[in-house]
Amino acid sequence: MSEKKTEQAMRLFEAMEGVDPKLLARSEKENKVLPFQRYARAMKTMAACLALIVVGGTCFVLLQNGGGQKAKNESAMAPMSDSAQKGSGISQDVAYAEDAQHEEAWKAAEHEQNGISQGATANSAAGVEAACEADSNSNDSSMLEELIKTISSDDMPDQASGTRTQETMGNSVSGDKEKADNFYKGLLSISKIKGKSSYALRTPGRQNGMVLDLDGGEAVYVDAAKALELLTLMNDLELQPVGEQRMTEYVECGICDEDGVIAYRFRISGKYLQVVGEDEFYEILSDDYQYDILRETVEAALQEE
Amino acid sequence: MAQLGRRTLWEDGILKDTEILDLYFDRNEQAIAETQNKYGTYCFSIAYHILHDQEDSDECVNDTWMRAWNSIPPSRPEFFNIFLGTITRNLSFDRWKKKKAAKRGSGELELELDELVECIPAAGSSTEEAVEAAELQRMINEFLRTLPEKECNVFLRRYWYSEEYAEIAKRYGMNLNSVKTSVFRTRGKLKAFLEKQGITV
Repeated sequence: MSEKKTEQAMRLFEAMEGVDPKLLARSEKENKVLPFQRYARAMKTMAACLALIVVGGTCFVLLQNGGGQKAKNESAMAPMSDSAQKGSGISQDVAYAEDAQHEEAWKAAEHEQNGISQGATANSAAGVEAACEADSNSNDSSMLEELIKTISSDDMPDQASGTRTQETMGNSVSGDKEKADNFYKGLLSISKIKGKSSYALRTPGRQNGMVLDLDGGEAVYVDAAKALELLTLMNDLELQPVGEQRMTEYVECGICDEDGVIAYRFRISGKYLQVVGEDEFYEILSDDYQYDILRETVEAALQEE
Repeated sequence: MAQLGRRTLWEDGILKDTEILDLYFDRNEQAIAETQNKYGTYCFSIAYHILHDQEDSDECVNDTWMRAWNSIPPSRPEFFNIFLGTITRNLSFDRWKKKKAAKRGSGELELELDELVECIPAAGSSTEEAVEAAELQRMINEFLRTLPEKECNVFLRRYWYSEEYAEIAKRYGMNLNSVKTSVFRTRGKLKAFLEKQGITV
């Protein structure tokens, strides 16, 4: 840093002496929001679990009615079906109902809470019913298989499925999140290109350059400093895989190579992020402030061009 | 509650600011002890963030009490802690400049100054001479008032209190990268603001 720049920076630092004391006093308040956010997140998770239990219970009742009908029709299995249902079958139904319904119910719960669109909300209710119906059909055959297993072995399938259910309902997202994290750690910064080459930060073995492209319009680039900022923000995002989302308005970004050929595209809409092509959807769980920075940065970068 | 003359001590033994200031006005030397008791750690923290040296920081803090004693009265600051912090900050920065001239010492301040370079408006943005310090202070205040509260707080903790990013993140319950990003953006905004005002530093 040149001597002159140092002096100028020192002048700025000294000029901060005259900052309004009210602003300084305001900055002294500690505001540890994170525990509250964690609490809010935990409440949200609890609400989702409650919704899941309600939906699971509803599906269980439907399955029971449907399962009872199927059991009567299966004459060869008739002597066994009653005892199986009374025994492990009941917990099995719950396990399979919950397990199979987990993603649909999660989507339904998320749609209900976030209210992406009325159509989506209406679809979610229909989707849950359709999912229940679809799963009742698929569960019939899987139930049959399990009944056969029950007869042929001493295993307790309800324990196994119960464990799997717990795992499914617990941290099934951790593997996908890690994948998402690794993907975003691969995002590179970008170079300013408008008819001439410019500098760019490169990660060995990776493609460089980022395209900011709004709704299929002309591709633009932003400078490396902005790219670093975006990269930091993206790496910071806490993502959770979710089901398919409807994205009517979005900002689309991509990674491209030196020739401008796009390798990865992703879209951000509201609190959701989609990897285009692979059709993976994630909810951005980061705190609102952090997400606002990302959204504003992306929009500002577009406006600069 | 115990009584100290006509003063009243809080149960935790720390006087209110108004009561400490009354001691200054009464030229009661107990004022310095009470100030040390209440704001010693606060001022030391400001000094240490700049100087990163215990001995130098202690000296700056002691000088702060002397300066406060000499300036109160006539002044009766509304925000006593900020008043003291400002004195400490100035003393610390002066000491830091001397040490830098003698090529001694290091610390976070070098890094902060490197960062502040980004806020300097581009050369040639104005034909005017560099603005007076008072005008620059006024501009900075005007700029800070345009910021959202959180962003302003983070900026001040970094460049007024010279706190490290981790400390700021802990204070506000923020992610470390969020703090860095916020400060980065605010520096950009400050530069744009100063350029728009057509001033040089």
